[in-house]
Amino acid sequence: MMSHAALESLVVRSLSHSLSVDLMIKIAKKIIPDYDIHERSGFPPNIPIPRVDAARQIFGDIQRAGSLLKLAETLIDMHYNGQMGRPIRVQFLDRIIAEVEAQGYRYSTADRVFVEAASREKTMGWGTLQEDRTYEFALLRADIVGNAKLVRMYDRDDVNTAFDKTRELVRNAVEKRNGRIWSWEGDGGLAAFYFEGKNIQATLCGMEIIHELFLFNLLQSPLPESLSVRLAVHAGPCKLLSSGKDSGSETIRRVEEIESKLTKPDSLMVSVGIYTDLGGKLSQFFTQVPGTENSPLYRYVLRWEKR
Amino acid sequence: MKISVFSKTKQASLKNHSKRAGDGITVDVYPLDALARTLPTLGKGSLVYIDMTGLGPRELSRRIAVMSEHQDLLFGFLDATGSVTDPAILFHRGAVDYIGKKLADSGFTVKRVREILAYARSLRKVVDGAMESGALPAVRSWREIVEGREYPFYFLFFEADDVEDMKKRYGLENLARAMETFRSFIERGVTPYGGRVWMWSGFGGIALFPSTDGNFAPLVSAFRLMLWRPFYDVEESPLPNYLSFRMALSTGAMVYREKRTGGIVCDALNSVFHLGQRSTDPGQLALTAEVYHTAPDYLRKFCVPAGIFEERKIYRVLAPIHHGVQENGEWPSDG
Repeated sequence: MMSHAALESLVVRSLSHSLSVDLMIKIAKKIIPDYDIHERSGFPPNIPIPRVDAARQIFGDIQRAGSLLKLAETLIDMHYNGQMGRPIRVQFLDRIIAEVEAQGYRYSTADRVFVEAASREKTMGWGTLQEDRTYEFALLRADIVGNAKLVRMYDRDDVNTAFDKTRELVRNAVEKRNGRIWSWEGDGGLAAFYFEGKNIQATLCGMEIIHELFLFNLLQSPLPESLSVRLAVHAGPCKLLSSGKDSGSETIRRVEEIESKLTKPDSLMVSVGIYTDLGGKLSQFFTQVPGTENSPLYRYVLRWEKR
Repeated sequence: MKISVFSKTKQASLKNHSKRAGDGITVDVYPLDALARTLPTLGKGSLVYIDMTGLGPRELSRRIAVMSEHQDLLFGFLDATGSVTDPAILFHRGAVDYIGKKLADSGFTVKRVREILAYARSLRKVVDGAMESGALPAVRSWREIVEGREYPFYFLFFEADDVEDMKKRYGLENLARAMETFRSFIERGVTPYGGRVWMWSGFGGIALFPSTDGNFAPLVSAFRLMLWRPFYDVEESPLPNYLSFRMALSTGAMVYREKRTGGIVCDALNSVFHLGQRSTDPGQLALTAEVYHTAPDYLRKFCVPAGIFEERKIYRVLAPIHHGVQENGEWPSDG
């Protein structure tokens, strides 16, 4: 997130009018754990730092660390939840939120973070997660079945049109549920879900892709035969790398294995950890199938009543 | 006169037509994939042919749908392999010419083109006459509809099943809250297809779509609503159980009223209520024969006969089965 003179002025005034220097340092340590204001500002430890100087120093350091959104989120949390049971009124908070939102973010009250607004370019980390750090994600892997055969058999333009439409359909389904496409390589890709209810969102997204693709095949596809996809959802820790996927991630390896080796065309397979999170209604759509290493999998397919 | 032929094949025989045409007739051959982007560039009244060689029924229907969006063009079919058993169907869908296997070699003669134009003019007179008399108002969107005038519509009846049972199980207040989410689900399902929830009774209602010839969007809308039920149940419905609802789709003419719809006397409206309430099973989507016959083949294959209603055949759409949901529509108990 870019700094903005108006935002800097607001946050510095807010910090210096609302919080003691000690509390400001506590906030800074939540964001930069080894934060030492004396070392960074040059003020000797035995000399008290004036509030305005402390506020300006902390704002600058957090800005350089690329964590201004985190600072704004921490101030919102402090304003509504206090600090160690003590109520705190953070001044100018509404204006700070408005200023951040003017830069293309919206505050999600459910997740208590700023995320990219719909109009802003979408990034792999929703504009709030930090590069190179490990988070818990629900991952959805999608793959178009038999793409090599389709390319061989049909007109190149028709195949490209069908693949492009499928990618668009997957992207719409993913972003509609606040997920992000992490990679897409011609005939398949990987999407990530991070926020509240991520396992349910990833699963519903997979189901929706099956339904949308069914309608696409029926109504719009330029190809004489239907496109099929294999879909798999699995959750676990994974490093956020904007340069590409985390090749060492066990979570990615597992979701790719479920999709490529254990999933039939036109079906969605979820791992047991996902299934147990689905709740009564959604889990009823899935059927248990044997998995690997004593870990069952659960499958969703769309079928039709016989004529 | 410019004739445009859209073809999947690159056979020289198609290009030969242009050599034989002469007398001010030019024939251009385009790849079939260029159909949608080329049609808007053609002059009003241009004659366009689709070469049916290598086209399956689904693709053919889709290409016809693209053609029918350009009502200022005339279109016909080249069937050099004689694959069509009933060419009249093509005329029902708006074609003005059909060149079958026997005629394919003779190409576009001046005489034939004159006959096509004369036929198209006579057809247009019939259509224009019907429009002027008010029998066939050509409405494509709600903007064109004026209150108090009669128009052809598609009527989509929708209603929750087992309402009395649900009142006892959930209480009226909880049920009313759930029904608002149901209404919103239907509204979002019909709007992208040009429909509106026009009547609402608290547990169901009527969605209305302006009707145009060959428009099967209302059927796609209802079909999609059937498919998207699981998402409604999981994401929107506050009820602990699966909500079963039935739908019925019919066509007919009605004098349009925005408000005070309860007092409308209209056979088509009564008929769809009766079809939905008396002749549609819980959880099903029923169609009148008229709706069934406007549907392309790839949608018809999801329909089966469902008996007789008001002395006419009706159909129903096959139900999607989602794994794990019992076929009686009940959720298996959590225990």
